[in-house]
Formats: sequence, C-alpha cells, structure tokens
Amino acid sequence: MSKASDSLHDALPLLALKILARRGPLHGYGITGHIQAMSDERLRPEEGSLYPALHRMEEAGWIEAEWVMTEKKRRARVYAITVRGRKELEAAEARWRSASAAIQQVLQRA
Amino acid sequence: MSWLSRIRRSLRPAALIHELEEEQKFHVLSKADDLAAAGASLGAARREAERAFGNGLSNRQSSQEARSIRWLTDVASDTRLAWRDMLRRPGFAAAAILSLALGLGAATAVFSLANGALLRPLPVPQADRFEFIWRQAPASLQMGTEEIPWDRVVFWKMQAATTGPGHAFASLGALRPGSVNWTGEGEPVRLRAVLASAGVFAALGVRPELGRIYTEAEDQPGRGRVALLSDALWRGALHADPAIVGHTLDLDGQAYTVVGVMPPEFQFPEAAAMPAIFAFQARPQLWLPLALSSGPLIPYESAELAFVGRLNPGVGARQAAAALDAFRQRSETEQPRGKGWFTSRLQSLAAAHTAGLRQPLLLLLLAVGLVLAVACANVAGLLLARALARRGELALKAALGAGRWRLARQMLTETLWLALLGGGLGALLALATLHGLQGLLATALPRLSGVATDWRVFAFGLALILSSGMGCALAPMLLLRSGAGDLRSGKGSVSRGSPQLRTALVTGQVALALVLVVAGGLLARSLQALLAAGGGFDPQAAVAVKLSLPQSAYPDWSQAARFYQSVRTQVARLPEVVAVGVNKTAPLAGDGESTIVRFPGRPADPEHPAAVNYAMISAGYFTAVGVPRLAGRDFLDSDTQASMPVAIVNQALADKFYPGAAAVGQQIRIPVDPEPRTIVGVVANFKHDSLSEQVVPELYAPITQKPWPAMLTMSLVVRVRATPHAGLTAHLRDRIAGAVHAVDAHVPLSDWTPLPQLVSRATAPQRLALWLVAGFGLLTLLLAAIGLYGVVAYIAAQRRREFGVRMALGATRTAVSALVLRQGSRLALGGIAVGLLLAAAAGRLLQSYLFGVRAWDPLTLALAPALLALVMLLACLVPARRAARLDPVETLRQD
Repeated sequence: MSKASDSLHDALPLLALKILARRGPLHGYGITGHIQAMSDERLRPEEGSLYPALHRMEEAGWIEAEWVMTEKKRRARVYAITVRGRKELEAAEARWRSASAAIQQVLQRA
Repeated sequence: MSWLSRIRRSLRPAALIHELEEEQKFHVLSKADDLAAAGASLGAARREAERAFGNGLSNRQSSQEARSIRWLTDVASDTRLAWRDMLRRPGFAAAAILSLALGLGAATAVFSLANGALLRPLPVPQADRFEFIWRQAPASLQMGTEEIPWDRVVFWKMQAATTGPGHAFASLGALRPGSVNWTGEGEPVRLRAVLASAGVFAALGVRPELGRIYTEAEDQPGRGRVALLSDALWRGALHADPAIVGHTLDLDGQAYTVVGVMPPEFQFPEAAAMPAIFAFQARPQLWLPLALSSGPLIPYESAELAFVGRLNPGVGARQAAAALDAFRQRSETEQPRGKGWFTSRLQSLAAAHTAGLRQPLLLLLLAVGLVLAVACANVAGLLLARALARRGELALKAALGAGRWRLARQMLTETLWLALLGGGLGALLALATLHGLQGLLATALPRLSGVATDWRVFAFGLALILSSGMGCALAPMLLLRSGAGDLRSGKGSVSRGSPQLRTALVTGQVALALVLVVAGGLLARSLQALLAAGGGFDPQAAVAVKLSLPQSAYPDWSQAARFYQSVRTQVARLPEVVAVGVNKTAPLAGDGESTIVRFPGRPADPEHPAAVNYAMISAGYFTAVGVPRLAGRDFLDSDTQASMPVAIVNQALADKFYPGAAAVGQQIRIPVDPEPRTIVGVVANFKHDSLSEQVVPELYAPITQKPWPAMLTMSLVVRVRATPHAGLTAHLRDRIAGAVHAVDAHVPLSDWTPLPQLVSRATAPQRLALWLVAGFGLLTLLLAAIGLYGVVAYIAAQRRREFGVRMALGATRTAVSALVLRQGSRLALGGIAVGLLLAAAAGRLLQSYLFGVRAWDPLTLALAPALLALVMLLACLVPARRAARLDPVETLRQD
C-alpha cells in the first residue's frame, strides 16, 4: 500500500481492460496477478479497490461478468471485455499516451 | 448488465453485498492457495491474504456506492463544483442567468395570462353544460354579424318545445342588458343592470352569498320589483350592510326589494364574451327580473334577448342542437315568412369564455417561445465556449478515468443550477411586469386581465426551467460526444468541430430575432394604417357624455325629445361650444340598431333584403362629432312630426343603393314608419365598432320626428373651440353638466369620454399586440447580438496567431478587422436569410391582426433585415477592433 500503488488507481480500468482484451476472460484475482507479473511486481493493484473499479466498468458496459466453477470447485466471477469495452480501451489508451507524453514534456521543460 | 438488472440490484443491496462477499472470498482464498504453494503455512497464508485485501467493510461500502447510492453523493459534489465554478466566473454566470431570466420571466408572465384566461375555472358549476343559444342571422342579410337577438315570442315557443323532463334542456332563460337610475343619497347614479328571467339563474345553478335568487313568481310582468346585487355594489355604495336583504332601493323612481347579493366572482354575463350587438356592459352591478310578457309581439317590437339553457343530464350538445333544429323546422312551417330566422347555434359557457382568446394567446406564447429559444441558444453558446475553454481540464479528467457520462452530468448539473437561478430571477421579473401588464390589459383586452398565479404557473415555470436547462446543456454535451475531451488533439485543432455548432446556434438566433422584428414591424405598420384610416370623424376637441332619463319622469318619447332639444340649446349657449348633438351611442362604442329598408318604386327582393344600420340623432350631431357633410343639409329644428319626414344617409348607403345618382331627394322607407322619408343629406362614412371595420350603409332620422323607445339613454357629444391644450377640463365638464341640469336637475351624466380617448380605446388591442411583440423583438435582438458577439469574439481569439502572422507578413490592421467583420457578417447574413423564410410563414399567422398592410410588406421586409444587419454589425465591431489592435510579436511569442 505504498504511494506508488495509490497513483495506479486512476489507471486501473485501463490496465484491466488491456489485460482482458489480450488474455481473454479472467477473474479479479487473475487480473491482479497479471498486472503484478507484467510490471515486474512494480505495480501492485490495491486489491480492495479493484472490485469497485471492476463493478463500475461493468456498469458502464465495458466488461461483462459471469459466475463459473474453477478446477478447485470454487465459484469465481469471471470478467470478459465487451465491444464497447474495446472501444473504450482504444480511447483510454490514446488518452493515456497523450497525457503521459504531456506530463513528460512538462517534466522536461519545467 | 442491463438497466433492469441494475435497478433490481440497487433495490436489493443485501443480495449485492452477498455477491460481492463471495467474489472477494474467492480472491482471498486463491491468494492464500498461491502463498501456500510458495511455501507459507496455511494459517499464515490466509492471514496474509486477508491483510493484503484490506478492510472488508469499507470495500463493501465503496462497492455498494458504486452501484446504488453513488448518484446522491455525486449530485451533491456536482452541485458544489457547479457553484464553485459560477462564483469563479461571475461574468459568465451573470450573462447566462440574465439571459435565462429574461426568457423564462417573459414565458412565465405570458403563461400566467393564458392560465388566467383559459384555464381558470368559471364560477358556474359544469360550465360546459351551460349553453348560449345564439340566433344566427340569415346569410342573405349580410349584416356583418352572425349572432343576432331573439324576441319574446320565440322564447315562449322554444321553452315549450325544448325544456323539461325528456327534452334537451333542464331550464331555459332569457336576458338582456339594461340600466337604471338609482336615487339613494344625493345625485342619482346610473347602474349597470342585467334583466334576466328566473330561468337564467336556474340554468346557471349559482348561489348568492347573501339572501336568495328571485323566484319564477317574482319574474312576472307587473311584479318583478326585486333586485339581486353584485358583491361590488353591495360592498361599495351600500357599505356591505349585512342587513341589506329586505331593504328597498329607489330604481327609476320605483321601490325594488333587495332579495340577495351575488358572490364576487359572479359577473354574468361577461360582456366581452357576448356578441357586441347585445351591448352588455362589463361588470354588471345588479340583476333584475326580465318579467317577459306573453302576449303577441307588438308590430316591430325590437328583438333584444339572448337565450341560455342548461342541458338535461345525459343530453349532449349534438342532441340539443338537433332539438333546436327540429324547433326551427316547425317554426318555419308555421311561419313561412320567418324562414331563415329560427336558426340557432349552441355555444357552451366554457367555449364562449375562451372564444377569440385562443388565437391571440397562442400568438403571444409563440412570440415568447421564440424569446426563450433565443435566450437558451445564448446560454448554450456560452456553455459551449466554456466547455471549449475547459477542454484541457476535461481531457485530463477523462484521461484519469472520468466517464463521459460523469462529465456530461456535471455540465448538466451546472446548467440546471444556472436555469434555476435564472428562473427564480425570471419569476420575480414576471411578477413585477405582470402588474404593469395587467394595467395595460385592463383597457385593451379585459378578458385577458384576469391573471392567475397558481400552482399551474409554478409547475409550468419549473418544467420550463428544467427543459431549458437540459436544452442548454445539450450543445456542450454534443461536444463531449464528438470526442473533444481528447488530449491528443493539439492546439491547432481546437477551433474545429465546435464552431459549426455555435454557428448554427447563432444563425438560429438571428433568424428568430428577425421573425419577431418583422412581426413587430408589420404590427407597427398596421397600427399606423389604422390610425391613418381613422374613424371617419375628427376626435380632437370633442367630448361625449351619457345622459340617462328616469323613465318615470319621461314616460313619452316626445318629452324625451323635447328634453334633448332643450339641452342642445342650453349647451350651445356656452361660449366655448362650437357644436352639440345627441345620438344613441357614442362613436366607436359598438352597439347600434339595424333594420331592413324599402325603396318606394322598386320591387322588394325577399331573397336579398336591404339591411342598413340606423340611428336617431339630433341636429348638430355630425358637426359635433366632426363628420363632413358631402351633400344636402343637416337636420333642422323645423323637422318636426308636422313637417315632411326626412333622413340623412351615409356615403356607403348612397353608393350601394343609388349608384351613379344623387341620393338627396330620393325616398327610403323604414318598415315601422307610416310613410317614406326623403333623403335630405349625405354624410361621409364613419365607424361604429372598430377602426378596422368595413363601413356598412347607414340611415339617420331626427329624434324630433321618430318615436323611439330607447331614447332614455343618449350620448351627448359637445365640440369645443380648439385650444392649444384642448382637453376635457373639470371646468368645462361642470359647465356642460350645469347646462344639462338647468333643463332637469335629476338627470345623471356619466361616462365622460373625450373623443380621442375613444379612438385610443378602439386601437388598444392593436397597440398591446404591438408593444408586446416589439418588446419581445427587441429583447431577442439584444440576445442574438450578444450571441453573435460571443461567437465572433471567440473565433477571433482562436485566430490570433493567424492574424499575428498576417500582420507580420504585412497585412494592415484594417485588413485584419475586415477579416473578423467578414466572418461575423457571413453568420448574420445566413441568419437573416433563414429568418426571412421563417418570417414569411409567421406573417401568415399574423394575417388576421393586420390592417392595410400585407404580410409581405416590402417596407417591413426591407427595414427589418437592415436593422438586424446594423445591430449585428455593431456586435462584431468590438472583436474586430480588438483584432486590429493585436501586437503581432506578442501573439507569435505566445506559443
């Protein structure tokens, strides 16, 4: 729960969408795992904020959820990206690139 | 997730929490498994997994918020944001709120007028089942009026044929206007009365506030000495005496017993809702029994009754109309000569009240709707500019994950707050102006002066506020949709995408403003034409006053005639008096008589009877009113019953019945006269009802020659020497009254009216329409100018760099100014072009309000766009000058 992972909060939907788009349907825990793994453990989503974020995205129609049984016979909620979600991902990715480029530029010029 | 399931979820938070808990449990368990697989003990793995997950309760709450309660807290935070924004940009907020206040205030004011006139309940139970039965004039008569009075005998027959159980009507009544002289303490007073049969009250079904209604038994010839008072008369002249019932009043020298007092809202019949031919007066002061006798008609007895009835339960208006048609057929079979005179038309009280009001009100609502639309477009334009200015902020918010909906909602909240504030201010404006408007309306459109500010007005205002708020927010929200909240777009592209929307808004504003300016112009030209046409008489330096003779003192018409002759002599002796005369009615006062005339030596044409208006007047009347004589002579004092019967006709009569020949010397006969009259003079046409009327043929006979039952109330017109400030001074008034009272001290003088006032009263509705439409027009013009200024200033600001480059490359300041002006005028001209098309459509709507000017009036259609272009040019000048003052170095350095 460092400051670094706090700032991740804003980017969480973007990352979750990207992972769902690339890796197919996943449950919340799986998404967390992928973020951690792909960031070489530098990004650790605050686990408690992941689910509210997922539910908001579900509300927005970007992802769909379904209850499934895992191999270990546990009920898990699996999320899949929707067509609208893919569009949003595209836009959000563009926004992010643009914003980070802008921030980068400010950091350089300031 | 579908909307439905989302709603279901938000209604069942318990189930939601359960689902969440299960999902989170899965997460913790999976993590514990992984930790255990990595070598941790089972218990430690579980503890670590739970710790990493954080506080379960707070997460539960935030997840729940995510779905159900969030919107509430969001509204609060949006509101906070909106207020902070408004306070930070007071100029923007003030402009938006003021625009909306003007639009919403005007709309609310007009709606409360409409509410008062159309929606206010009538003081009569089941007003849609209370019917007026109007007699329809035979088409061949070409009288210019449709509803004409019935006579006594038809009443008895119609009552017998259509009233009672199993018939169409439960009760039928007859009424006519009247007036009585009341001698209380001091000077006799003229009271406005309605003579109504007991059946009228039975049909109305109203209750008095004091006492009772008079009975059928009291409504009989020779009895009927009872009176019902209006609340106003009782509270005013009678000091609200609680013991008034049972007291007697001296009316026309007879003792009448007061049986009851009617409630304040009871003003039946409402004069303005009755056809003018009946000459009912506004705000009747008392109701007296009509006491219709049942004998046969006296030859040429005048018909002056209006019929009313209440439908029997279960009888529709159509059935009643069928019953009346059956009555017509039977009457026509019985009296073939009366064919065409028994046709009737039913009109419910509710319909009579709104007849003729819908159209002007609709026009007003339309005009005010345009004002509101332009005001909203202004606010939308302002919001759009703001949204563009805040693109950076919005883009950042969006990049950080704020959904479009979230941003849109924030804009909506902000706009709704602007609208609420604007609406509140508008309501205050409406209340303030309604007061003034009411005064204006009281003279112009008395039926519109009943303003009702009740819950309906409140609900309408609120609905308007909400819808205009949403309407205004639409433009910036469209901007969001078009993906403007995109950080990628660099500075250069900022001006794209948005100006089309603002351009469209401004074009619309200019167009609507032009529509109202054209409408105002047409009405102004129409009023000008109306005043130029005039009434056909010279209103300057003349005054009219009503004289009412007590019937007991003047039982015989010849005594009345002698009285008026003496009054003329007395008044003419006053040194400042130029001419004096009497007539039944004052000019432009409305009512009059008409008759069918015959021409000796010509065969009568029963299909096309020659209907003319006729009036009894004294010598000197035409000079007093200022109507030029075209041929022959005036009446003389020597025209008496002993001399040759004479008549004077107007130009219209001479033209219609004696085309190409001299009318003077010809003979004309009124059926009631024993012998024909010789035409001794022709006077110019002058008007009786309104300045816009078509003058009909008219015949005048001298009061000294003609027995005339209605000569007890006459209008005395006195013309005085024109002075620089010719007006009705109290001094002159006293001297005229003194001259009248020298003849008979018991005759009351009432309704002193300078003739110019009659003319202005006759044009009051036109002036009202003009003021309102012109006022709304100027308001819209101002709003549109502000809108155009905003857009041009904005675009000019966007092009600063370009202007800087141009100037650096050698463009002059004038050239840069011209660029801005050109852009502005393109917008304005587009709006004007669209506006001209709309104005053409609007002109057709206005047609019935126009006089002497076509909807396609070239002058108006040339001047209005010119005015608009001028104002719009002025609106563009400021940004153009600002662009010219740019420092090219400064602008280029900025980026």
